[in-house]
Amino acid sequence: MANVKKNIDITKPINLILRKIKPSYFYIILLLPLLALIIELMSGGLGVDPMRKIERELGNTGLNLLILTLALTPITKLTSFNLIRYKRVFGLISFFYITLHFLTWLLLDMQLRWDEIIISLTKKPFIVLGMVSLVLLVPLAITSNNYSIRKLNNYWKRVHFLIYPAAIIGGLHYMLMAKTIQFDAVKTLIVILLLITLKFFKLKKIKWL
Amino acid sequence: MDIKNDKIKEAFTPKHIYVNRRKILQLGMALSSLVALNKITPAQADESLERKINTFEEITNYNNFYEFGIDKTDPAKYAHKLTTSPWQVEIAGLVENPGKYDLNELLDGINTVDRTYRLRCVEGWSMLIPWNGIQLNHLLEKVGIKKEAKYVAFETLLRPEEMHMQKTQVMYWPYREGLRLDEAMHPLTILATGLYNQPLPKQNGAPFRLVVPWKYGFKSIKSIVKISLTEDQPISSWSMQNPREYGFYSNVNPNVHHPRWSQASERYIGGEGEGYLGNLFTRRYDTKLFNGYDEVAYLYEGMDLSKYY
Ligand code: HEM
Repeated sequence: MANVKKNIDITKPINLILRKIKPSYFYIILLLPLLALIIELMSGGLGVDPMRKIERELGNTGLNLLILTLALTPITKLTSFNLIRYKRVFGLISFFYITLHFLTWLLLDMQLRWDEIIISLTKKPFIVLGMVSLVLLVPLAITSNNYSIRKLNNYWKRVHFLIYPAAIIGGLHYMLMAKTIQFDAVKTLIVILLLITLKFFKLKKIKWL
Repeated sequence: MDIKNDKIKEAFTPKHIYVNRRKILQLGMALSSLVALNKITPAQADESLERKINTFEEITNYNNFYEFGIDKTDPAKYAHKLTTSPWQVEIAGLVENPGKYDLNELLDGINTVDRTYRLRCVEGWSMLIPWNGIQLNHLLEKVGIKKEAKYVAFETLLRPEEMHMQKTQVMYWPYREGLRLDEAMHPLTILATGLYNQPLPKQNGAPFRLVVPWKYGFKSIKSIVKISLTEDQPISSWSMQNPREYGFYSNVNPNVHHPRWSQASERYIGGEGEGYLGNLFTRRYDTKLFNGYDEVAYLYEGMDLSKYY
Protein backbone atom coordinates (compact mmCIF):
# COMPACT_ATOMS: atom_id res chain seq x y z
CA MET A 1 0.00 0.00 0.00
CA ALA A 2 2.91 2.28 0.69
CA ASN A 3 3.11 4.16 -2.52
CA VAL A 4 6.62 5.23 -3.44
CA LYS A 5 5.30 7.35 -6.23
CA LYS A 6 3.12 9.22 -3.83
CA ASN A 7 4.74 12.53 -4.69
CA ILE A 8 3.56 12.36 -8.31
CA ASP A 9 0.12 10.97 -7.58
CA ILE A 10 -2.33 13.55 -8.87
CA THR A 11 -5.38 11.62 -7.73
CA LYS A 12 -5.48 13.19 -4.33
CA PRO A 13 -5.30 16.84 -5.33
CA ILE A 14 -7.84 16.27 -8.07
CA ASN A 15 -10.21 14.60 -5.67
CA LEU A 16 -9.72 17.48 -3.29
CA ILE A 17 -10.79 19.87 -6.01
CA LEU A 18 -13.65 17.60 -7.01
CA ARG A 19 -14.90 17.60 -3.46
CA LYS A 20 -15.40 21.34 -3.78
CA ILE A 21 -17.40 20.97 -6.98
CA LYS A 22 -20.77 19.97 -5.67
CA PRO A 23 -22.96 17.86 -7.94
CA SER A 24 -25.67 20.47 -7.57
CA TYR A 25 -23.53 22.94 -9.53
CA PHE A 26 -24.13 20.83 -12.58
CA TYR A 27 -27.84 21.49 -12.44
CA ILE A 28 -26.85 24.96 -13.63
CA ILE A 29 -23.80 24.14 -15.76
CA LEU A 30 -25.56 21.48 -17.79
CA LEU A 31 -28.35 23.86 -18.65
CA LEU A 32 -25.91 26.15 -20.47
CA PRO A 33 -26.40 24.32 -23.81
CA LEU A 34 -30.10 25.10 -23.50
CA LEU A 35 -29.33 28.75 -22.83
CA ALA A 36 -26.98 28.81 -25.83
CA LEU A 37 -29.75 27.34 -27.97
CA ILE A 38 -32.22 29.98 -26.85
CA ILE A 39 -29.73 32.77 -27.51
CA GLU A 40 -29.04 31.36 -30.95
CA LEU A 41 -32.75 31.21 -31.66
CA MET A 42 -33.26 34.82 -30.64
CA SER A 43 -30.37 35.96 -32.78
CA GLY A 44 -31.64 34.16 -35.87
CA GLY A 45 -28.73 31.73 -35.87
CA LEU A 46 -30.96 28.68 -36.20
CA GLY A 47 -31.83 29.46 -39.79
CA VAL A 48 -34.93 29.03 -41.87
CA ASP A 49 -36.38 26.13 -39.89
CA PRO A 50 -35.55 26.72 -36.22
CA MET A 51 -37.93 24.03 -34.98
CA ARG A 52 -35.98 21.21 -36.64
CA LYS A 53 -32.68 22.62 -35.39
CA ILE A 54 -34.00 22.80 -31.85
CA GLU A 55 -35.52 19.34 -32.02
CA ARG A 56 -32.23 17.87 -33.19
CA GLU A 57 -30.03 19.86 -30.84
CA LEU A 58 -32.11 18.74 -27.85
CA GLY A 59 -31.94 15.10 -28.93
CA ASN A 60 -28.23 15.41 -29.48
CA THR A 61 -27.48 17.06 -26.14
CA GLY A 62 -29.67 14.52 -24.38
CA LEU A 63 -27.90 11.56 -25.94
CA ASN A 64 -24.44 13.06 -25.35
CA LEU A 65 -25.23 13.62 -21.68
CA LEU A 66 -26.50 10.06 -21.46
CA ILE A 67 -23.18 8.87 -22.86
CA LEU A 68 -21.27 11.02 -20.37
CA THR A 69 -23.36 9.50 -17.60
CA LEU A 70 -22.33 6.07 -18.82
CA ALA A 71 -18.71 7.11 -19.00
CA LEU A 72 -18.44 8.37 -15.42
CA THR A 73 -18.13 4.90 -13.86
CA PRO A 74 -15.34 3.56 -16.10
CA ILE A 75 -13.47 6.87 -15.86
CA THR A 76 -13.71 6.71 -12.10
CA LYS A 77 -12.37 3.16 -12.10
CA LEU A 78 -9.52 4.01 -14.43
CA THR A 79 -8.44 7.18 -12.65
CA SER A 80 -9.75 6.96 -9.11
CA PHE A 81 -11.15 10.44 -9.59
CA ASN A 82 -14.33 10.39 -7.68
CA LEU A 83 -16.89 11.18 -10.38
CA ILE A 84 -19.58 8.72 -9.37
CA ARG A 85 -21.46 11.28 -7.35
CA TYR A 86 -22.11 13.30 -10.50
CA LYS A 87 -23.96 10.46 -12.17
CA ARG A 88 -27.36 11.44 -10.89
CA VAL A 89 -27.26 15.03 -12.07
CA PHE A 90 -25.89 14.06 -15.48
CA GLY A 91 -28.56 11.40 -15.89
CA LEU A 92 -31.39 13.65 -14.77
CA ILE A 93 -30.38 16.57 -16.97
CA SER A 94 -29.97 14.18 -19.88
CA PHE A 95 -33.54 13.05 -19.28
CA PHE A 96 -34.63 16.68 -19.11
CA TYR A 97 -33.19 17.38 -22.59
CA ILE A 98 -34.68 14.22 -24.03
CA THR A 99 -38.07 15.13 -22.59
CA LEU A 100 -37.82 18.57 -24.19
CA HIS A 101 -36.80 16.82 -27.42
CA PHE A 102 -39.93 14.70 -27.27
CA LEU A 103 -42.15 17.68 -26.39
CA THR A 104 -40.72 19.68 -29.29
CA TRP A 105 -41.69 16.84 -31.57
CA LEU A 106 -45.15 16.52 -30.06
CA LEU A 107 -46.03 20.21 -29.97
CA LEU A 108 -44.03 22.09 -32.60
CA ASP A 109 -43.32 19.32 -35.09
CA MET A 110 -46.40 17.08 -35.07
CA GLN A 111 -48.57 19.84 -33.58
CA LEU A 112 -50.68 17.39 -31.63
CA ARG A 113 -52.04 15.66 -34.71
CA TRP A 114 -52.82 12.56 -32.72
CA ASP A 115 -53.68 10.20 -35.55
CA GLU A 116 -50.33 10.88 -37.19
CA ILE A 117 -48.56 10.75 -33.84
CA ILE A 118 -49.97 7.30 -33.15
CA ILE A 119 -49.00 6.09 -36.62
CA SER A 120 -45.48 7.46 -36.15
CA LEU A 121 -45.07 5.93 -32.72
CA THR A 122 -46.17 2.53 -33.93
CA LYS A 123 -45.10 2.32 -37.57
CA LYS A 124 -42.04 4.48 -38.18
CA PRO A 125 -39.03 2.48 -37.03
CA PHE A 126 -36.87 5.42 -36.01
CA ILE A 127 -39.67 6.97 -33.97
CA VAL A 128 -40.56 3.61 -32.41
CA LEU A 129 -36.94 3.28 -31.29
CA GLY A 130 -36.97 6.81 -29.86
CA MET A 131 -40.08 6.03 -27.91
CA VAL A 132 -38.72 2.74 -26.56
CA SER A 133 -35.57 4.50 -25.43
CA LEU A 134 -37.58 7.23 -23.76
CA VAL A 135 -39.87 4.74 -22.04
CA LEU A 136 -36.84 2.86 -20.68
CA LEU A 137 -35.46 6.09 -19.25
CA VAL A 138 -38.61 7.04 -17.35
CA PRO A 139 -38.18 4.61 -14.42
CA LEU A 140 -34.54 5.68 -14.14
CA ALA A 141 -35.49 9.30 -13.81
CA ILE A 142 -38.26 8.56 -11.32
CA THR A 143 -35.96 6.50 -9.10
CA SER A 144 -32.98 8.85 -9.19
CA ASN A 145 -33.34 9.92 -5.57
CA ASN A 146 -32.14 8.69 -2.19
CA TYR A 147 -35.58 7.57 -1.15
CA SER A 148 -35.84 5.16 -4.09
CA ILE A 149 -32.34 3.87 -3.54
CA ARG A 150 -33.24 2.98 0.03
CA LYS A 151 -36.65 1.60 -0.82
CA LEU A 152 -35.64 -0.44 -3.83
CA ASN A 153 -32.45 -1.82 -2.31
CA ASN A 154 -30.86 -4.35 -4.65
CA TYR A 155 -33.63 -3.90 -7.12
CA TRP A 156 -32.45 -0.33 -7.77
CA LYS A 157 -29.31 -1.51 -9.55
CA ARG A 158 -31.35 -3.67 -11.83
CA VAL A 159 -33.63 -0.78 -12.72
CA HIS A 160 -30.65 1.41 -13.49
CA PHE A 161 -29.15 -1.18 -15.74
CA LEU A 162 -31.79 0.08 -18.19
CA ILE A 163 -29.50 2.96 -19.11
CA TYR A 164 -27.54 0.58 -21.35
CA PRO A 165 -30.39 -0.57 -23.61
CA ALA A 166 -31.79 2.96 -23.54
CA ALA A 167 -28.52 4.38 -24.84
CA ILE A 168 -28.10 1.75 -27.56
CA ILE A 169 -31.68 2.18 -28.75
CA GLY A 170 -31.31 5.97 -28.63
CA GLY A 171 -28.21 5.62 -30.82
CA LEU A 172 -30.11 3.41 -33.28
CA HIS A 173 -32.90 5.98 -33.36
CA TYR A 174 -30.31 8.54 -34.40
CA MET A 175 -28.85 6.25 -37.04
CA LEU A 176 -32.17 5.45 -38.71
CA MET A 177 -33.58 8.94 -38.81
CA ALA A 178 -32.31 10.13 -42.19
CA LYS A 179 -32.23 9.10 -45.80
CA THR A 180 -28.57 8.21 -45.92
CA ILE A 181 -26.06 6.79 -43.47
CA GLN A 182 -25.33 9.21 -40.62
CA PHE A 183 -21.63 9.13 -39.87
CA ASP A 184 -22.08 11.02 -36.62
CA ALA A 185 -24.66 8.49 -35.53
CA VAL A 186 -22.30 5.63 -36.31
CA LYS A 187 -19.57 7.28 -34.24
CA THR A 188 -22.01 7.81 -31.39
CA LEU A 189 -23.09 4.18 -31.47
CA ILE A 190 -19.49 2.98 -31.44
CA VAL A 191 -18.79 5.05 -28.33
CA ILE A 192 -21.89 3.65 -26.62
CA LEU A 193 -20.96 0.07 -27.45
CA LEU A 194 -17.40 0.67 -26.28
CA LEU A 195 -18.60 1.98 -22.94
CA ILE A 196 -20.88 -1.00 -22.52
CA THR A 197 -18.07 -3.39 -23.36
CA LEU A 198 -15.98 -1.79 -20.61
CA LYS A 199 -18.60 -2.94 -18.18
CA PHE A 200 -17.52 -6.53 -18.73
CA PHE A 201 -13.92 -5.85 -17.84
CA LYS A 202 -12.50 -5.41 -14.37
CA LEU A 203 -11.03 -1.96 -14.73
CA LYS A 204 -7.98 -1.01 -12.70
CA LYS A 205 -6.52 2.35 -12.02
CA ILE A 206 -4.02 3.33 -14.67
CA LYS A 207 -0.57 3.32 -13.04
CA TRP A 208 0.87 6.49 -14.48
CA LEU A 209 -1.77 8.63 -12.94
CA MET B 1 -53.26 22.10 -75.61
CA ASP B 2 -52.80 25.82 -75.37
CA ILE B 3 -56.13 26.51 -73.75
CA LYS B 4 -55.30 23.95 -71.11
CA ASN B 5 -51.95 25.56 -70.76
CA ASP B 6 -53.38 28.95 -69.96
CA LYS B 7 -55.81 27.46 -67.52
CA ILE B 8 -52.99 25.82 -65.68
CA LYS B 9 -51.06 29.02 -65.58
CA GLU B 10 -54.01 30.82 -64.16
CA ALA B 11 -54.71 28.19 -61.60
CA PHE B 12 -51.20 27.93 -60.32
CA THR B 13 -49.79 31.35 -60.81
CA PRO B 14 -52.47 33.62 -59.51
CA LYS B 15 -52.07 36.64 -61.72
CA HIS B 16 -52.33 39.27 -59.06
CA ILE B 17 -49.41 37.73 -57.24
CA TYR B 18 -47.35 37.93 -60.32
CA VAL B 19 -48.36 41.39 -61.23
CA ASN B 20 -47.66 42.58 -57.73
CA ARG B 21 -44.38 40.85 -57.43
CA ARG B 22 -43.28 42.00 -60.83
CA LYS B 23 -43.93 45.54 -59.77
CA ILE B 24 -42.01 45.10 -56.58
CA LEU B 25 -39.23 43.37 -58.40
CA GLN B 26 -39.01 46.07 -61.00
CA LEU B 27 -38.72 48.56 -58.23
CA GLY B 28 -36.04 46.41 -56.68
CA MET B 29 -34.24 46.21 -59.99
CA ALA B 30 -34.49 49.92 -60.39
CA LEU B 31 -32.79 50.34 -57.09
CA SER B 32 -30.51 47.67 -58.50
CA SER B 33 -29.65 46.49 -55.08
CA LEU B 34 -29.60 42.90 -54.06
CA VAL B 35 -30.23 43.94 -50.50
CA ALA B 36 -33.50 45.49 -51.50
CA LEU B 37 -34.47 42.31 -53.31
CA ASN B 38 -33.68 40.15 -50.36
CA LYS B 39 -35.91 42.20 -48.18
CA ILE B 40 -38.98 41.58 -50.24
CA THR B 41 -41.31 39.47 -48.20
CA PRO B 42 -44.15 38.42 -50.43
CA ALA B 43 -47.08 38.44 -48.13
CA GLN B 44 -49.48 37.69 -50.95
CA ALA B 45 -51.46 34.60 -50.30
CA ASP B 46 -51.62 31.46 -52.33
CA GLU B 47 -55.36 31.61 -52.07
CA SER B 48 -56.13 27.95 -52.49
CA LEU B 49 -53.97 27.13 -49.48
CA GLU B 50 -53.61 30.38 -47.57
CA ARG B 51 -49.87 30.11 -47.77
CA LYS B 52 -47.63 32.99 -48.55
CA ILE B 53 -44.85 32.58 -51.04
CA ASN B 54 -41.57 31.71 -49.38
CA THR B 55 -38.99 34.43 -49.24
CA PHE B 56 -35.90 34.37 -51.42
CA GLU B 57 -33.89 33.90 -48.27
CA GLU B 58 -35.89 30.84 -47.19
CA ILE B 59 -35.74 29.25 -50.62
CA THR B 60 -31.98 29.70 -50.87
CA ASN B 61 -31.01 28.63 -47.34
CA TYR B 62 -32.93 25.40 -46.94
CA ASN B 63 -31.87 22.98 -49.64
CA ASN B 64 -31.37 19.30 -50.17
CA PHE B 65 -28.47 19.14 -52.60
CA TYR B 66 -26.33 16.29 -51.32
CA GLU B 67 -23.51 17.07 -53.73
CA PHE B 68 -22.71 19.95 -51.38
CA GLY B 69 -23.49 18.32 -48.04
CA ILE B 70 -26.23 16.55 -46.15
CA ASP B 71 -27.31 19.45 -43.96
CA LYS B 72 -29.92 21.79 -45.41
CA THR B 73 -27.63 24.76 -44.89
CA ASP B 74 -24.64 23.13 -46.63
CA PRO B 75 -25.65 23.96 -50.22
CA ALA B 76 -25.83 27.68 -49.38
CA LYS B 77 -22.34 27.39 -47.89
CA TYR B 78 -20.59 25.37 -50.57
CA ALA B 79 -22.45 25.72 -53.87
CA HIS B 80 -20.55 28.89 -54.77
CA LYS B 81 -17.71 26.62 -55.84
CA LEU B 82 -19.75 25.38 -58.79
CA THR B 83 -18.85 26.77 -62.22
CA THR B 84 -22.09 27.19 -64.12
CA SER B 85 -20.86 28.98 -67.19
CA PRO B 86 -20.13 27.72 -69.74
CA TRP B 87 -22.66 24.92 -69.34
CA GLN B 88 -22.98 22.08 -71.79
CA VAL B 89 -25.96 19.81 -71.97
CA GLU B 90 -25.91 16.49 -73.74
CA ILE B 91 -29.09 15.50 -75.51
CA ALA B 92 -28.98 11.80 -76.17
CA GLY B 93 -30.93 8.67 -76.93
CA LEU B 94 -34.10 8.57 -78.99
CA VAL B 95 -34.05 12.14 -80.28
CA GLU B 96 -33.88 13.60 -83.77
CA ASN B 97 -31.08 16.03 -82.94
CA PRO B 98 -28.72 14.46 -80.43
CA GLY B 99 -25.55 16.23 -79.44
CA LYS B 100 -23.85 18.49 -76.96
CA TYR B 101 -25.40 21.90 -76.75
CA ASP B 102 -24.45 25.05 -75.00
CA LEU B 103 -27.28 25.77 -72.57
CA ASN B 104 -28.12 29.14 -74.13
CA GLU B 105 -28.30 27.58 -77.55
CA LEU B 106 -30.58 24.87 -76.23
CA LEU B 107 -32.99 27.30 -74.59
CA ASP B 108 -32.90 29.80 -77.43
CA GLY B 109 -36.30 30.55 -78.93
CA ILE B 110 -38.31 28.72 -76.27
CA ASN B 111 -41.01 30.71 -74.52
CA THR B 112 -40.27 31.43 -70.91
CA VAL B 113 -42.87 30.83 -68.21
CA ASP B 114 -43.36 31.97 -64.61
CA ARG B 115 -44.83 29.39 -62.27
CA THR B 116 -45.43 29.54 -58.57
CA TYR B 117 -45.50 25.94 -57.41
CA ARG B 118 -45.80 24.16 -54.13
CA LEU B 119 -42.76 22.02 -53.46
CA ARG B 120 -43.38 18.99 -51.26
CA CYS B 121 -40.29 17.24 -49.91
CA VAL B 122 -40.50 13.56 -49.03
CA GLU B 123 -39.21 14.56 -45.58
CA GLY B 124 -42.56 16.13 -44.79
CA TRP B 125 -41.98 19.83 -45.36
CA SER B 126 -43.09 22.12 -48.12
CA MET B 127 -42.52 25.53 -49.66
CA LEU B 128 -44.17 27.76 -52.22
CA ILE B 129 -41.67 28.90 -54.84
CA PRO B 130 -41.93 31.36 -57.74
CA TRP B 131 -39.95 29.74 -60.54
CA ASN B 132 -39.02 31.09 -63.94
CA GLY B 133 -38.11 28.73 -66.75
CA ILE B 134 -39.43 26.88 -69.74
CA GLN B 135 -41.79 23.99 -70.21
CA LEU B 136 -39.90 20.75 -70.65
CA ASN B 137 -42.22 19.71 -73.49
CA HIS B 138 -41.11 22.71 -75.53
CA LEU B 139 -37.49 21.70 -75.19
CA LEU B 140 -38.20 18.08 -76.05
CA GLU B 141 -40.18 19.15 -79.11
CA LYS B 142 -37.29 21.34 -80.15
CA VAL B 143 -34.79 18.48 -80.08
CA GLY B 144 -37.29 16.09 -81.66
CA ILE B 145 -38.77 13.04 -79.99
CA LYS B 146 -38.44 9.71 -81.77
CA LYS B 147 -41.50 7.48 -81.84
CA GLU B 148 -39.95 4.71 -79.75
CA ALA B 149 -39.18 7.02 -76.84
CA LYS B 150 -41.11 6.23 -73.68
CA TYR B 151 -39.08 7.80 -70.89
CA VAL B 152 -36.81 10.75 -70.21
CA ALA B 153 -33.66 10.31 -68.13
CA PHE B 154 -31.73 13.15 -66.49
CA GLU B 155 -28.28 13.42 -64.98
CA THR B 156 -26.67 15.98 -62.71
CA LEU B 157 -23.15 17.22 -63.25
CA LEU B 158 -20.37 14.97 -61.96
CA ARG B 159 -17.48 17.17 -60.87
CA PRO B 160 -16.06 16.12 -57.50
CA GLU B 161 -13.57 19.01 -57.46
CA GLU B 162 -16.47 21.40 -57.15
CA MET B 163 -19.04 19.13 -55.54
CA HIS B 164 -17.06 17.73 -52.64
CA MET B 165 -19.61 15.15 -51.49
CA GLN B 166 -19.13 13.32 -54.77
CA LYS B 167 -15.82 12.19 -53.30
CA THR B 168 -17.80 10.21 -50.72
CA GLN B 169 -20.12 7.26 -51.07
CA VAL B 170 -23.24 8.69 -49.46
CA MET B 171 -25.00 8.23 -52.79
CA TYR B 172 -24.33 6.76 -56.23
CA TRP B 173 -23.07 9.62 -58.34
CA PRO B 174 -23.98 11.27 -60.58
CA TYR B 175 -27.50 11.98 -59.34
CA ARG B 176 -30.01 10.53 -61.78
CA GLU B 177 -33.72 10.93 -62.27
CA GLY B 178 -36.33 9.95 -64.78
CA LEU B 179 -39.88 10.56 -65.90
CA ARG B 180 -42.33 8.78 -68.12
CA LEU B 181 -42.58 10.66 -71.42
CA ASP B 182 -46.18 11.71 -70.82
CA GLU B 183 -45.19 13.11 -67.41
CA ALA B 184 -42.31 14.97 -69.00
CA MET B 185 -44.59 16.35 -71.72
CA HIS B 186 -47.19 17.58 -69.26
CA PRO B 187 -47.31 21.37 -69.39
CA LEU B 188 -46.89 21.59 -65.61
CA THR B 189 -43.41 20.09 -65.89
CA ILE B 190 -40.83 22.81 -66.25
CA LEU B 191 -37.11 23.35 -66.43
CA ALA B 192 -36.39 26.22 -64.08
CA THR B 193 -33.66 28.69 -64.90
CA GLY B 194 -34.55 31.22 -62.26
CA LEU B 195 -36.58 32.14 -59.23
CA TYR B 196 -37.93 35.50 -58.20
CA ASN B 197 -36.89 36.63 -61.69
CA GLN B 198 -33.26 36.13 -60.79
CA PRO B 199 -30.94 33.59 -62.33
CA LEU B 200 -31.27 30.32 -60.46
CA PRO B 201 -29.01 30.40 -57.38
CA LYS B 202 -26.40 27.66 -57.36
CA GLN B 203 -27.78 25.97 -54.25
CA ASN B 204 -31.12 25.64 -56.03
CA GLY B 205 -29.62 23.79 -58.98
CA ALA B 206 -28.06 26.35 -61.31
CA PRO B 207 -28.00 26.82 -64.16
CA PHE B 208 -31.11 24.79 -64.80
CA ARG B 209 -33.13 22.13 -63.07
CA LEU B 210 -36.30 20.13 -63.38
CA VAL B 211 -39.44 21.05 -61.44
CA VAL B 212 -42.26 18.49 -61.31
CA PRO B 213 -44.65 19.95 -58.76
CA TRP B 214 -46.82 16.88 -58.19
CA LYS B 215 -43.89 14.66 -57.23
CA TYR B 216 -41.68 14.65 -54.16
CA GLY B 217 -38.90 17.18 -54.40
CA PHE B 218 -36.08 14.73 -55.03
CA LYS B 219 -37.52 13.99 -58.48
CA SER B 220 -36.80 17.59 -59.47
CA ILE B 221 -33.15 17.01 -60.36
CA LYS B 222 -30.71 19.91 -60.20
CA SER B 223 -27.82 21.21 -62.33
CA ILE B 224 -28.65 18.98 -65.29
CA VAL B 225 -25.96 18.06 -67.83
CA LYS B 226 -27.66 15.24 -69.67
CA ILE B 227 -31.16 14.55 -70.93
CA SER B 228 -31.83 11.32 -72.80
CA LEU B 229 -34.93 9.79 -74.24
CA THR B 230 -35.14 6.07 -73.67
CA GLU B 231 -37.35 3.13 -74.32
CA ASP B 232 -36.79 1.54 -70.92
CA GLN B 233 -37.58 2.99 -67.54
CA PRO B 234 -34.48 4.83 -66.35
CA ILE B 235 -32.95 4.40 -62.92
CA SER B 236 -33.26 7.12 -60.35
CA SER B 237 -30.74 7.76 -57.61
CA TRP B 238 -33.00 7.44 -54.61
CA SER B 239 -34.61 4.25 -55.88
CA MET B 240 -31.12 2.81 -56.28
CA GLN B 241 -30.36 3.84 -52.72
CA ASN B 242 -33.50 2.39 -51.23
CA PRO B 243 -36.10 1.00 -53.66
CA ARG B 244 -38.64 0.30 -50.94
CA GLU B 245 -38.73 3.88 -49.72
CA TYR B 246 -38.39 5.74 -53.00
CA GLY B 247 -40.21 4.46 -56.04
CA PHE B 248 -39.79 5.55 -59.63
CA TYR B 249 -43.02 7.54 -59.64
CA SER B 250 -42.80 9.15 -56.20
CA ASN B 251 -45.99 11.09 -56.70
CA VAL B 252 -47.00 13.07 -53.66
CA ASN B 253 -49.54 10.80 -52.01
CA PRO B 254 -50.75 11.04 -48.42
CA ASN B 255 -51.97 7.45 -48.58
CA VAL B 256 -48.63 5.83 -49.31
CA HIS B 257 -46.77 5.69 -46.02
CA HIS B 258 -43.10 6.26 -45.71
CA PRO B 259 -41.15 4.53 -42.94
CA ARG B 260 -39.48 7.75 -41.80
CA TRP B 261 -41.85 10.61 -42.32
CA SER B 262 -45.56 11.10 -42.06
CA GLN B 263 -46.91 11.75 -45.53
CA ALA B 264 -50.40 12.63 -44.32
CA SER B 265 -49.41 16.20 -43.66
CA GLU B 266 -46.60 18.62 -44.31
CA ARG B 267 -44.95 21.40 -42.40
CA TYR B 268 -44.92 24.57 -44.43
CA ILE B 269 -41.52 26.21 -43.96
CA GLY B 270 -42.19 29.88 -43.66
CA GLY B 271 -43.89 30.42 -40.40
CA GLU B 272 -46.75 32.38 -39.08
CA GLY B 273 -44.71 35.38 -38.03
CA GLU B 274 -41.96 37.45 -39.56
CA GLY B 275 -38.34 36.49 -39.84
CA TYR B 276 -36.47 33.60 -38.30
CA LEU B 277 -38.22 33.65 -34.97
CA GLY B 278 -41.56 33.65 -36.77
CA ASN B 279 -40.49 30.49 -38.53
CA LEU B 280 -40.35 28.66 -35.21
CA PHE B 281 -44.08 28.17 -35.38
CA THR B 282 -44.62 26.53 -38.72
CA ARG B 283 -47.98 25.23 -39.71
CA ARG B 284 -48.99 21.76 -40.81
CA TYR B 285 -51.27 21.33 -43.80
CA ASP B 286 -52.94 18.15 -44.97
CA THR B 287 -50.97 16.75 -47.87
CA LYS B 288 -53.00 16.32 -51.03
CA LEU B 289 -52.80 13.63 -53.65
CA PHE B 290 -50.52 14.85 -56.46
CA ASN B 291 -49.67 17.77 -54.19
CA GLY B 292 -53.05 19.21 -55.12
CA TYR B 293 -52.29 19.28 -58.85
CA ASP B 294 -55.31 17.20 -59.79
CA GLU B 295 -54.98 17.88 -63.50
CA VAL B 296 -52.24 15.26 -63.71
CA ALA B 297 -54.46 12.51 -62.31
CA TYR B 298 -55.38 11.25 -65.78
CA LEU B 299 -51.75 10.22 -66.33
CA TYR B 300 -52.22 7.52 -63.72
CA GLU B 301 -55.72 6.34 -64.49
CA GLY B 302 -56.12 2.66 -63.76
CA MET B 303 -52.79 2.42 -62.01
CA ASP B 304 -52.56 1.12 -58.47
CA LEU B 305 -50.71 4.02 -56.89
CA SER B 306 -49.83 2.08 -53.77
CA LYS B 307 -48.00 -0.40 -56.00
CA TYR B 308 -46.48 2.14 -58.37
CA TYR B 309 -45.42 4.57 -55.69
C1 HEM C 1 -40.84 9.20 -28.56
C2 HEM C 1 -39.61 9.61 -28.43
C3 HEM C 1 -38.83 10.34 -29.49
C4 HEM C 1 -39.25 10.96 -30.63
C5 HEM C 1 -40.67 11.08 -31.15
C6 HEM C 1 -38.09 11.50 -31.29
C7 HEM C 1 -38.11 12.19 -32.50
C8 HEM C 1 -37.01 12.64 -33.17
C9 HEM C 1 -37.05 13.37 -34.42
C10 HEM C 1 -38.31 13.74 -35.17
C11 HEM C 1 -35.77 13.63 -34.77
C12 HEM C 1 -35.31 14.46 -35.97
C13 HEM C 1 -35.35 13.73 -37.24
C14 HEM C 1 -35.11 14.65 -38.40
O1 HEM C 1 -34.29 15.55 -38.31
O2 HEM C 1 -35.78 14.46 -39.40
C15 HEM C 1 -34.92 13.06 -33.77
C16 HEM C 1 -33.55 13.10 -33.79
C17 HEM C 1 -32.76 12.67 -32.76
N1 HEM C 1 -33.19 12.09 -31.58
FE1 HEM C 1 -35.07 11.66 -31.05
N2 HEM C 1 -36.98 11.19 -30.56
C18 HEM C 1 -37.38 10.48 -29.45
C19 HEM C 1 -36.58 9.99 -28.44
C20 HEM C 1 -35.22 10.15 -28.39
C21 HEM C 1 -34.38 9.63 -27.34
C22 HEM C 1 -34.87 8.85 -26.15
C23 HEM C 1 -33.11 10.01 -27.65
C24 HEM C 1 -31.83 9.77 -26.90
C25 HEM C 1 -31.59 8.79 -26.12
C26 HEM C 1 -33.14 10.74 -28.90
C27 HEM C 1 -32.05 11.25 -29.56
C28 HEM C 1 -32.07 11.82 -30.81
C29 HEM C 1 -30.89 12.22 -31.52
C30 HEM C 1 -29.45 12.09 -31.04
C31 HEM C 1 -31.32 12.75 -32.76
C32 HEM C 1 -30.45 13.28 -33.88
C33 HEM C 1 -29.99 14.67 -33.63
C34 HEM C 1 -29.11 15.19 -34.74
O3 HEM C 1 -29.52 15.17 -35.89
O4 HEM C 1 -28.01 15.60 -34.44
N3 HEM C 1 -34.45 10.81 -29.33
N4 HEM C 1 -35.71 12.47 -32.80
